[in-house]
Formats: sequence, C-alpha cells, structure tokens
Amino acid sequence: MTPNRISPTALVLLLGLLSPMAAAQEASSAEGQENRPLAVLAGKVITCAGEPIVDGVVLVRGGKIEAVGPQTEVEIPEGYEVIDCGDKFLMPGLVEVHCHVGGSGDLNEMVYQTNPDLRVLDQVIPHNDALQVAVAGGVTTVCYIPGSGTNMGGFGAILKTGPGELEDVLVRFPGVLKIAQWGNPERRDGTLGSGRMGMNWIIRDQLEEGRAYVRAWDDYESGKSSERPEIDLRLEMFKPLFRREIPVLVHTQGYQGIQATLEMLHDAMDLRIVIGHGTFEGYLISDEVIRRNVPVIAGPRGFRFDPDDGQIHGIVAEYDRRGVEWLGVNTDSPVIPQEELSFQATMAVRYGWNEEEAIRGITIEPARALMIEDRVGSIEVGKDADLVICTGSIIDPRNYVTQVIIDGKVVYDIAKDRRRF
Amino acid sequence: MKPNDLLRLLALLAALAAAMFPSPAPAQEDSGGEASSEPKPDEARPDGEESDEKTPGPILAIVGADIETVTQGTIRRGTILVRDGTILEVGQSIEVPEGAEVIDASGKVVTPGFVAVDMNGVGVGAAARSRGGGGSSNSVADALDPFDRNMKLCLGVGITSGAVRIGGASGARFLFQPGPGSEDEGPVSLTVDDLIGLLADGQLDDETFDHLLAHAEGREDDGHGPLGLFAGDGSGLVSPFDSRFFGEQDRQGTCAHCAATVMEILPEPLAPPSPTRPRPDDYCVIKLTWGDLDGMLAAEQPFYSLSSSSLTGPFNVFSWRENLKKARDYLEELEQYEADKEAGKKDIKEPRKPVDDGLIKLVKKEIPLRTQASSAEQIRSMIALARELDYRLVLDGAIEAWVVAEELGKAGVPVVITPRDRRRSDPGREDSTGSSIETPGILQQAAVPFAIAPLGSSVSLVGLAGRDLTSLPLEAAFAVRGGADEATALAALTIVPARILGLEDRIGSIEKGKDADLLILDGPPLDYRTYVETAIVNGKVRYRRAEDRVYPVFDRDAR
Amino acid sequence: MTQPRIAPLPLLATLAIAAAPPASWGQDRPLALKGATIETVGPAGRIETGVIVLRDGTIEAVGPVDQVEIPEDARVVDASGRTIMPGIVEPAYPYGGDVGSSSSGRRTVVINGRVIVLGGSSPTRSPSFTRVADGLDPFRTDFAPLLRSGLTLLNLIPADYGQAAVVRITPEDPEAMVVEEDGRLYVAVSNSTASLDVVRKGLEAANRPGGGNRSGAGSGSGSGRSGRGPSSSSSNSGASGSARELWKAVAEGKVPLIADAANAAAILYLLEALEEAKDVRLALIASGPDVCRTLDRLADRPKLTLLLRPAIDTEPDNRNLVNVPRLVHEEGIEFAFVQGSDRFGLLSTQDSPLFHVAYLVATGLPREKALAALTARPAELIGQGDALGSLEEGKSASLLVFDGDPLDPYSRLRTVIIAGRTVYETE
Repeated sequence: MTPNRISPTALVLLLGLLSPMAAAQEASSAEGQENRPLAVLAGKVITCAGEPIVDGVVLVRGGKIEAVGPQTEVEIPEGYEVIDCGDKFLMPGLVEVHCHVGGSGDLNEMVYQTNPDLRVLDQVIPHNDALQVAVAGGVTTVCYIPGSGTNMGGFGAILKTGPGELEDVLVRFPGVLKIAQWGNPERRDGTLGSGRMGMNWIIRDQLEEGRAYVRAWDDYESGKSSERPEIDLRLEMFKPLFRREIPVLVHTQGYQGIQATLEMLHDAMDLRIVIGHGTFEGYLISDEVIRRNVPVIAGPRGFRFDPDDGQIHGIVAEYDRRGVEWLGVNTDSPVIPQEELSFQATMAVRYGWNEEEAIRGITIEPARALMIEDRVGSIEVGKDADLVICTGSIIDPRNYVTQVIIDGKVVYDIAKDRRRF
Repeated sequence: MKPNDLLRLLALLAALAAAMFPSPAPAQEDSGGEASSEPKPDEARPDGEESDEKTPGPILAIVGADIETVTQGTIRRGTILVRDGTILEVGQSIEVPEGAEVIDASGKVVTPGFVAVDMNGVGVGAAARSRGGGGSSNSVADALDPFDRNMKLCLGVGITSGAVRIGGASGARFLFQPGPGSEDEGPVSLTVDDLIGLLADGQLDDETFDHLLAHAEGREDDGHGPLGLFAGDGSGLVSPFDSRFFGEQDRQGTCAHCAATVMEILPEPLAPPSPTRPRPDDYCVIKLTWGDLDGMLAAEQPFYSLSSSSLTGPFNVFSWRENLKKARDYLEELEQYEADKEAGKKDIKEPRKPVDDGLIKLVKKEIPLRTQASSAEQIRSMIALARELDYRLVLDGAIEAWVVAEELGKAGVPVVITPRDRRRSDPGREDSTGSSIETPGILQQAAVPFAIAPLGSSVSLVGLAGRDLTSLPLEAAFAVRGGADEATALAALTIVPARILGLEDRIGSIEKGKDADLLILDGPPLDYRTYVETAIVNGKVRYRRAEDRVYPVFDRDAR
Repeated sequence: MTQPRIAPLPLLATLAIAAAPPASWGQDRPLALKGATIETVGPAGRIETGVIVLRDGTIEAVGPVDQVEIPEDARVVDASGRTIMPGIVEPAYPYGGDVGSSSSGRRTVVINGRVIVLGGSSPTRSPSFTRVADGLDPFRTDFAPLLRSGLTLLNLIPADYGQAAVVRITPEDPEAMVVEEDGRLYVAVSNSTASLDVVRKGLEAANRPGGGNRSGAGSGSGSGRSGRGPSSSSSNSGASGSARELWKAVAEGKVPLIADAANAAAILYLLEALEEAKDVRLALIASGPDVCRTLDRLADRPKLTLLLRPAIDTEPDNRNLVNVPRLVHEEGIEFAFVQGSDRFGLLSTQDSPLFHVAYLVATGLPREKALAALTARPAELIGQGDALGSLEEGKSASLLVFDGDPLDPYSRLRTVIIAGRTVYETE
C-alpha cells in the first residue's frame, strides 16, 4: 500500500522522539489553519478494502488518508500527532443512506403529490443534537432526505455529522432524489391517484417530464440542438439524476413494491437506484435485484414474521441467503436513533447475516450506493479521513466508540467529551 | 452489692437490651435470599415430603456445561440434577444417578432463566384484562393461556418468568363515533368486557384489541395516552372536552388511528379534597410453562404498582399519606380486635378494611411500592416519601439514577433501567441531567441493585429488531457497554428482578432447592449472537430452538 | 361426471312435487330403491348392489338385492349407479334466535368502516342458562338451505350455556320439525372464571347430596339484607331446576356434555375442571389447531368425543396443512364432525357437499370413520342413535341419494329424504 518501510525499532525510536513542541511547530507551519497531521495506531484496522490489518496505522494529512498499513511497514513522519489506540479497533466512519435527522423536522412538505423542487438543503442544521449522538455511535456521513408523505418528497443532501458550517459538512447536493412508492404515500381513499397504480403513474409522468427537460439541455449543451431551453427551477435538479450522477433513494418495500421500483425506475427510466427499505417479503424478489446489481440498504425493520412458517426471518440474512451481495442496513432515523446504525447491523447478524459483511454494510456498501465511495466508506489512501475507534468490533453492543475523526479532525473523544453513547 | 445481685442486674440488662434491639439480622438474611446456600432446608427438599405422598419423579441431568449460577459464581463443566421441578444438585463433581435423562451440554453455557420485570400481554388470555372491573369475579388463575405464541418468542431469548400486568383497563369505557350504516346515531359506549366479547366472537382482531387497551391503560410509551377522562356516572358527568379538567391533547378527543375516545370512570366524582383511593395496576408473575397450566401462575400482586402521576402533586401525596394511615390504623384496630377476641371480650366488632389488600401488604412490608421516577428530583422525592411513610420501594425508568446513585445506594432502593433510554439534558446542566449511557457502571459502583428492562415491554412482530421484550438480553449487553461487569449485567436479568418480584427464594439463580428454570445457551449469555438452545421451566423442557423454530436456525460459526 | 345422468329419478321427482299437499308418498305404498350402493354406516357396512325399502317413514328392509324381498305393493325405483347414505346429523348448530342475547338486543355499529355487531356475550360475564326449545320458531325458513349440504338433523345449541333442542329439516312440515325439546346440556368455555364456573359449579351442584332448589328458599330469606348471597350461586349453577337435573345426568354419565372450547387454554381448563368427574362423557367442540396443541392431554381423557370441523386445518402458528381428524383417530379418540354456523366443512354450493370430507379421506382418514362421523356418531351423541345415523331396519327413513360415490367430488347430492319424505331434490 505504501512504499515506505522502516524497521520496528526505528518506529519506536521515532515515536519516542516525537515531542509535543515539534508537533506543534509542524502543525502551525506546514498545515497552516488545518489540524496537525495524525498517525492513528490501532490493534486492528478494519479498512473495508481488503483484509483487516493487525497492529495497523493510518496517517492522516489535510483531512485525507495519506497512508495505511501495518505499523511495521508504515513510517510515521516527523511532526505527526500520534493517537495510539492500543488494542482497540479502527474502522471507517459509518455511512447512513436513510436519515431524517439532519435538520429541522418538517420533512413532509406536501405541496403536490410529487415535489421535485423541494430540497432539504434549506433546513440542514449541522452537528445538531441527534447528529452529535450519531457521532458517538460512529456515524460520520448521513444522507438526509425528505419523508415519504408524497410520492416525490424532494432532493436530499449528503452530510458529514461533525461540526462546521453548511459548506464544511456538505458532501454533495443534490445528494439523492427521494421517491416513495409503497406504503406511506398511499392514501387509497378513493382520490384519483392515491392507490399504487395511480401513484406510479404520477411518478412516471413526473419523471418523463424531467427526462425530457434534461434531454433538451443535453442536446443543447452537446451542440445537437441550437435552441437553448428555458430554465425551469422545478426540474433543474433532475439534471444530475438523469445524467446518472446521483441515485434515487426509493422508499419501496415488499415484493410488489420492489418489482415496480426495478421495472419503472431502473429499467424504464434508467436511473441509479437504492432500495431504501426493502423490507417485508421484499427478499423474495432477490433474483431480479441481483440481475440488475442494485443495492439493498434495508431498514428500519430488521425482521419479518412470516405467518406461513410462524418464524422470524432476518431481512438482510434472507437477501444474503439468496445471493444479493450489495447489502447494507439503515436506521430511517429517528425511527431508529441515528447512533444505533451499528446496532441495526448487530440485529442483522443475530438473525443470520455475517459480521464481516455487516461491517461493510454500514460503511462501504452504503457509500457505494450513494455514489460517494471515492470519498468515504473505507480506509484507503486519498479518501476522507473519517475514522472511528472502538473498544472492539462495533457490531457487538458491549463495545463502544472512544474517538471519532472526521475530515482529519478529532470530533469526539471520550477522554475529553462526556460519553454520549 | 452482692455478686449475685450484680449477676442478676447484668442478666436484666441483657434481657432489656435484647428486647429493645431484637436482632433481626439472621432471620432477615434468609428471606432476603442473599447467597443463602441452603434455601428452605427441609420444605423444598423432595425426599423430605414425598415419602408420604408421591414417589420422587424422574431425574433430569444437564452435564458438561459451564454453569453461571449468578449467586455462587461460575462452575466449569458442571452438572445440574433436576427433579420434580426443582434443582436437586448443582456442582462440579456430582454423580448422575442411573436412569436419569441426560442432556449433554458440553461446550454450552447454562444460566438461570431470565426474569422480566414487565412482560406485557404474555401468557394471559383476554379475560385477564377484565379482572376486578365492574365487580366481576374473574381470576387471573382462570385466564392463563399456556399456548400464547409470545411465550415461545420469550423463551427463545431466555425469559422464563416475568410480571404481567392484568386488569389495568378495568373500568375504562370506549366511546366510538359510529359511522354511516350504524343503527345508533350518538356515540356508542363499550366496556372492556364488551371488547373481550367481540374478541371472542372474532369481530375484533388481537391487534385492535391491544390498541384499544393500550389507550385505556394509558401506555404513553406507545403513544397511546388516555384520551379523555370521565368522572362519576349519571348527573355528575364531566365532558372530556371540558377545558377545566383536561389538557389540549386530551381534548383532541379521538385517536389518530382508531376513532376511539377512552373514558375512565373514576370511583368518585371529582370533588376534592376528600382523599381519593389509590388505584394500583394489578400484576401477577407468570412462569412460561408452555403447554402447562400447572405452576404457571407464580404469584399475584408481587408489588404495589402506582403511576408516578398518582404520587406527585400536593393533593395526591396528601391522599397517599391518608391512605397509608388508614391502612396502619386498620392494622392496629385489627390487632386490638384479635386481642379482645382472644380475651373473650364481647360486643366487639371486627374492623372494616378501609383500603385494598395490596396496601395492607405494602404497609406490612410484604411487598414493595413500584412506581416510576425518571428525573433525579423525582427519584429523590420518592426515596424521601418511602422513608417517611416507611415502605419498601422499587423505581422504574430511573433515567437519571446516575445522578443520585449514592442516595439510591444508601437507601437500598433497587431500580429498573433501560440502558438505551434517552432523555435530553437540560441546556447547561449536562453534568447532572439527562440520560447517561454510563448509568449501569455508575450504579454498580454505588452498589445500587438494578434490573434491566428492554425498550418495549411486550412482544412486537412489526419488524423493528432488538427493541421489544425479546431484546432483553441485548439490552443487558448495553449495560456492559455502559460500564457494568458481565456478572452485574447478568444479575440484572436474573436475581435482581427476582428480588423485585419477591421470588428470590425460587428463581433468579442456580441453587439447590430452587425452581429448575434453566437456559442452555450456545454462547456467553450477553453475546449478541447467543441463542437459547433449550429452555427449561419448572424442570421441564419448554423450548428447543431447532424444533420450535420461532427464530432463524443456523450454525453461528458457519456465518 | 356425466354417466350417472342416464338414470335420473323421474318417479321421485314427480312424486315429491306433485304429491306434496296430501300426506306424501311413503304413507300408503312402500318405496324400494333398488340397485344402489348403500353405505349403511351400520353393522351391514357397505352394500354394493342393494335395495332399501321405505314404508311409513321408516326403513322396512335394507340389504343386497338378492337377499331382500321387495314387497309386492312397493313402487320400485331403479337406483343403480346411485349411492345411498344416512342423512348428515349436525351435533351443534348455533341457534341464532333471540334466545340468550342480552336485553339490549343485538345492534350493528360501523366504526372506522368496520361493521361490528354489539350485544353478544363476553367470556368475562356469567352466562345465563337458556333453553333453545323455549325460543324455537319452527316456521323459520333459514334451515331449508342446509338440505343442500345433506344436513337432515340439527342439534340446536344456545348462545353460551343451556339446553339444546333437536330439529329435523322438514320445511314443508314445520309442525313436525321438533324432534327433541329437552336436549343435551351445552356450555361454551373460555379461559375465564365466568365461563369455567358454569362447569365447576354445575358439577358441584349435581354432586351435592339431596336435591331441590336449595338457594331459592334457604339463604335467600335468611340473609334478607341484600340480594348478594343467593344471586351469584343460583345464576351460576343454573336458575332453573332443569339445569341442575341436566348437570346431574351429565355428572352420572347418563348424557354427554357438549362443550365448546374457545381456545387451547380453555381445553386444559375444562379437562382440569372435569379431572375428578370421571363419569362425564364429554363431547368437545374444538378447532383443529387447538386439538393439535392438546392432543396428548385429550388422549388421556376417558369418555371423550371430539367434535371437529370436517376440513383440512392448519397447524397452530403456521400454515402447514394438517388432517386433524386423522390424527385424532390415530390417537384412538372418538370424533364426530360438526359444521357450526359457518358450514365451512361442507361445500353446499356445488351439490357435492362432502368435498372436504373426501379430502380428509384421501389423506388418510379411514372412509368408514369419516362417514360415521357425519352420521352415526353425532346421532348417538344427541340421543338419536336409536332412530337415526345409520340405515338399518326399523330406523327412520332419513337418507341421502348421491349420483355416485359421495366422496367423489364429481358426484352430486340428488335427493334428501327425511322420515320417508323427499324434502330436497335437484336435477
């Protein structure tokens, strides 16, 4: 991973020589306003990009991961602040695809049945109370999305959970489009378009309008057409969506719901999609999910009680058993408190998933689903330095997070802060 | 003074001292169940009694497991012998008698069955809800349901006994606004008995029934507060929409889900200041003896349960004091009456019981008061009240217990906590308000006995994992996360709740003579991957994971 | 499916309709059905090519064609290709009259789109003893459709507790409907004190030495101060003397007790309540899943007859199919079929009512047990075994004529004859 190799003794010497004074100088001179570069040492480094590293070290500089490897192989440059976590576990910050606690609570603005012009960006509250506790649960990135009160709730934003101004914490906007196809938005009160057929027609109709708009712009920008289309703010955010730069986070559940999602949003509309619930008997359609290589980031329900066999079935375990690999869990916070993302994985393992996959399912898999895997989700050189130090495997609820680093800054440390979770 | 006189004086003094300071310690010790190595010497021993009655039953032997006794440490590769529902022997070098049925539990862990301090709706039929209401003679002993599926779900995570609320909704009335097609135009009033009838008829499903009762019982944790309040009957009716009596939420009238208005008939019209009678929630303790009525009902009224609101505010506290005083006066009068009767006096009248039986038991310290106190302030005032009025106390939902751990420890008040319970701190007072994940560790430090309750007290199949009653052992794992030892966390699932239910001489630990409520686990009890392989209650196997298949069955090492 | 059509029964058809006003055909001339397969459900078993002679409402003769002499005056009908079996006897048909419902009466309320019928009983309230015969209306017409299912005799049971009455379904002759006014004792049992006390106190009262209405005179006038004392005991053990007599007969094993268990727990409670009463012959109505749960306990109970739905059930707590009557039979427990008010077990709309029974037989229930459970067993239970339930000489001429094997789903029920009269017929 890194070409630098030094002997263990040299490392010890280096560590011993490191004086706070020198470190401070380094920080102020080389990094300016930025934090000092860090060297984080841990008994086990779970990178989520290959095998875990025993007695590993992660170098952090400029908010990014500079190097990662065994302590015997990675040289810690002079001036790096060393955070020695002993035999604790170091892992990438957790990634949540389905969060409603990134700001003020009014998430279901039901202006129309589809609201592609709404955006949560207008109500983000960085590092709010809920997110502060989320940090203590190891969650460093959340996709903050509108609710499922209407068929299209608006566009969500991907945020870091740490402190800062909006621009500091914003990973991407538009993050995702929220579409709700099943359950909550259904009214079925006899009003036109309140059942599943009608809802899906309305979603399709809205997307067709958006697609035509984006095509017109694409044609203009590529020179195919010389006529400059009118700017329509209501449809403007469809551009990255139809250019497949951002996905749709779909509130879809059950066999029929997921089938409609795959057929309509994936096949017909050619969109990137994330199955944002996938619960109830949804796992029965696993074959179709696998064929399209679509991520299932399941939750907040973790199990289904099947009256046919009178048994509890783990949702994720059932997808896993049928061969779905792109899997993760979500909290749908505040349905499940945001800090309990890892506990959602705990329960998935309890019901038959696998612990290693479960760790991927709260880090790199949701990051890939959100199309932010170039920045977060694993410990790899060049990625954001979002690191979590835990007393052991984060999947075991007896263990807890002791330190959290976001973008290279220590944002939570139980040695200084009151323990929050 | 002659030596003799001196001796006599000394003897007199000694007698006096003995009279003034009766030594309660040894006697108390036994009933407290503190590590009593030989509980109930002769009574519980099968051989003692059975020679006259029955021949002893067959022996069940569990061998090879690491045994977590809870009260007497861990026994590596030990043996437990069970006969006639109780533990005959436990230890490392115990011979298995010939003919005994042997369960080989090598490589497994055996613990006592877990005890739930709240086990809502498990193992009782609908009729249990109507207990005591409207003068009905319904007894919970007749309303058990040993085939309730929830029992299997509980056994599968290790719960073998627990306290079940019964009859909490008695006296509630449900007012429905009928829709088009109804014969009645005005609101239709239904009692709990009516609902039970509809349930029995199949006109009402279990879910709706539970939903309505949740209202009637005012289970605010489920978001189902009582919707209205109705005082008295006949002319003294108070409208639930009368702003003089009810808050905004009450006056909204109907539930968003079910169009019901729940009304509660108070025993007296709202006419202070005559002290109102306490209205305790009824509980019983049930053992999960699947398929068997025998031995299922372990105890009735294990504690005196009052809502926190009925002990707050000057009027309620006044009423409480008055009622306790009545109970004490009654006991005195009763004593006098008994003495008079003994003496052959005539023209004496037996005093009338002015309060319910539970209150009498409370005053006699046979059962504790169980109530809720979440803030430090509430906890302090409950401790003070219990000290002043002299009764035993158990506090539920003690979220801020970590703030007053010292006081709780000194008062010897056990608490029930849910480590994941959250309560926001007051701004600027983060160090002394709100919840703390470290509460279990702090309580352990201060020697405050605590029992664990999961986030939800009933079995839920809606699909949210690890939050209902069946997450009890996982919630204890969070106690370890919060700084408690594994042993303390295990005690919080076993012996501490057993003491809270007053059944520490029967359940909560693996000791000779105690009920054979045992779990054979496929791993350490607080490991989140651990499942119960076999659950034994009253000496019989009541659950086997591989056969009952209520939870997923897979090989944990193959995952 | 089509081949039996070659031999319709034109004679029966004409007679039944044409001769309705005067006392119908069997009266003066006997009728001989010849050449049919006869399931006697009696000692004669199944007769492949038989003849049955009906005269004056009773069976004059039944046997193989070559052994029975057909009277000279008889009308002989060629019934070859047909199968004749006894009429189906329903041992517990809820009588939905006004009897027993609360004083406020039943009323319908619609709450949130859900239709709810109020005014029923609740297991938590003490039920009162009612006698079906007291509220019986023989002119009710809603029994007639049951003939399509082959039901000929109904044991009408009260709402919660009381005395049943037996009727036969003769819509043309309401006066003749009531067969037995003083029927069996019936009680619905749930896991509730109120319902269990009916059984406990009933047996207690029956076992009490002496007789008479003790509570009425004795304690009532004694206490005087309030009605508290006597009221509870008298209402529970049955207000009328007849209840006590019935319990006495039940306790002594003279007549069976018909009990309906609301759930598996209720079965355990009931068995517990009857633990000491070894003489009690219990006829227990229970659902398939509840029977599955308690099978080992039920097997231990002496003198038990289970009343089961004639259909495939699901196992408790899952949806695996299970043939409960077969399990029960294999445990050595007697059973009879009960339809209840929903008549789920019989498919009357197809004129092949025994479809579900055929399914049970196809999956392992012995055929003769199934037929007996529809006819002879319930007839015995309700005290009509001497007259009904099997096709034997001297018994009542109540029978069903199918155009093939009754358990063949392609067969149709063609004719229902009760006491010698054709009461139902279809093309």
